[in-house]
Amino acid sequence: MIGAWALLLCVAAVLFLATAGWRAYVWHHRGVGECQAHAAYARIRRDRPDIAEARLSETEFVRYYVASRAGIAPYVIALLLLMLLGLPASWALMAGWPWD
Amino acid sequence: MKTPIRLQVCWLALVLLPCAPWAMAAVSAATPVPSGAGTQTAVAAQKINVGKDAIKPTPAQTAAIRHAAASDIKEFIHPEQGGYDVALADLDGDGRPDLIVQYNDISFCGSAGCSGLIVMATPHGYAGTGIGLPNFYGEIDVLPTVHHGMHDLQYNGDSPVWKWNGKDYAIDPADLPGDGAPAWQSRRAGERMVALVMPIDSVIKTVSVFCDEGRPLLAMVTKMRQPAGPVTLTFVFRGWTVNVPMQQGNRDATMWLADLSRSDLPAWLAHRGSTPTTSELARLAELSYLRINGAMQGQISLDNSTAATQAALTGCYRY
Repeated sequence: MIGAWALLLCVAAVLFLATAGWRAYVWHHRGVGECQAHAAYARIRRDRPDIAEARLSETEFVRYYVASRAGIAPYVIALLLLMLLGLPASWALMAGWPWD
Repeated sequence: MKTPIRLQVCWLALVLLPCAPWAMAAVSAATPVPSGAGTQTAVAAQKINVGKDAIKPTPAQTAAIRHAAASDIKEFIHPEQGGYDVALADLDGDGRPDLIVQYNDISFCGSAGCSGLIVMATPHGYAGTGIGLPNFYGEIDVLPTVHHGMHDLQYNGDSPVWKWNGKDYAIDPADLPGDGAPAWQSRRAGERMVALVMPIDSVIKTVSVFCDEGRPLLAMVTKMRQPAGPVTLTFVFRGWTVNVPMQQGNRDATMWLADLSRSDLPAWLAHRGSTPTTSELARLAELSYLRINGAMQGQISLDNSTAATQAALTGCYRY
């Protein structure tokens, strides 16, 4: 029973990581971060011109804004670890290890 | 035996489920259609010169351009060298600069400039497909007027206005160029009469003839600077060529002048020839194709050329 729960947990974690990984991918490589950064920069310059971000140039702000979110690498590594370790572990648990 | 089957199903789910959000997101990366309809007026106009205002695209922008222009980029002779310039302009007023791409590869250039495309910036990143742009010389005016949520565009400062119809940029049927090139005009510049014609499908803005200090001159004004070196303007009248060596008339290399004292071009423009063959060809000619250093540069009409050029060259050219 505990093995089945572990497997379900793995599936949930894989789903979460895949979604978050995709979001990180489009943020950095499909221009989502860049596109949102320009709009955010205009908003900051208009509404809060005295804060530090507003004093950056637009290019600097875009770079800073995009880099503020993690890249895809941590998600891929976590997914791989989950596949390589989580699955065999839950399989082993379902087979009765370590009680059998 | 039951456990392995259950595990296989779970394993399949584990492998397939991560693909789902990626596939869903890929499907949703279609071209966004700007919302809103009808005509609005924005505050400011923006003049963009894609060559001068070119930016160094970020990796995400490069990927978006390559994705949007995938079919075009296959045609590039040297795709690894870029083959395009990129400038930014907010065409839909959402605060996200859209990418204006102009190819500078010879495959996409002609006498009217080079073509390109627009890649829209959306809240979900750059659009997956581009919006085609006609051939132009690199200057785009983003006009204050807005149709269906997108600013109107004008190319090279003098083109008809291109309006967004919800799917594409297009010009009103009433603004479409006619079949023929415009006729010659007579204009007075101070005490001088000038005969002037505007070619179509050409880098040449105007061709004019006039008298200057007793000499018949031909002036050619181009939309963009010509490369350094000798320039020969060739008129082709029903297959008969008349070459006119030009000299640079301004620092920008956009105005070129020629002395027509010893040229038979004014006779051709007046539908005259010096032999029976040339007389017949000149009489029948309704237009003349133009070439600069051998390269085709559109055509001019010969409608009203006799009256306009003779009036301009009276007193300085003997027919």
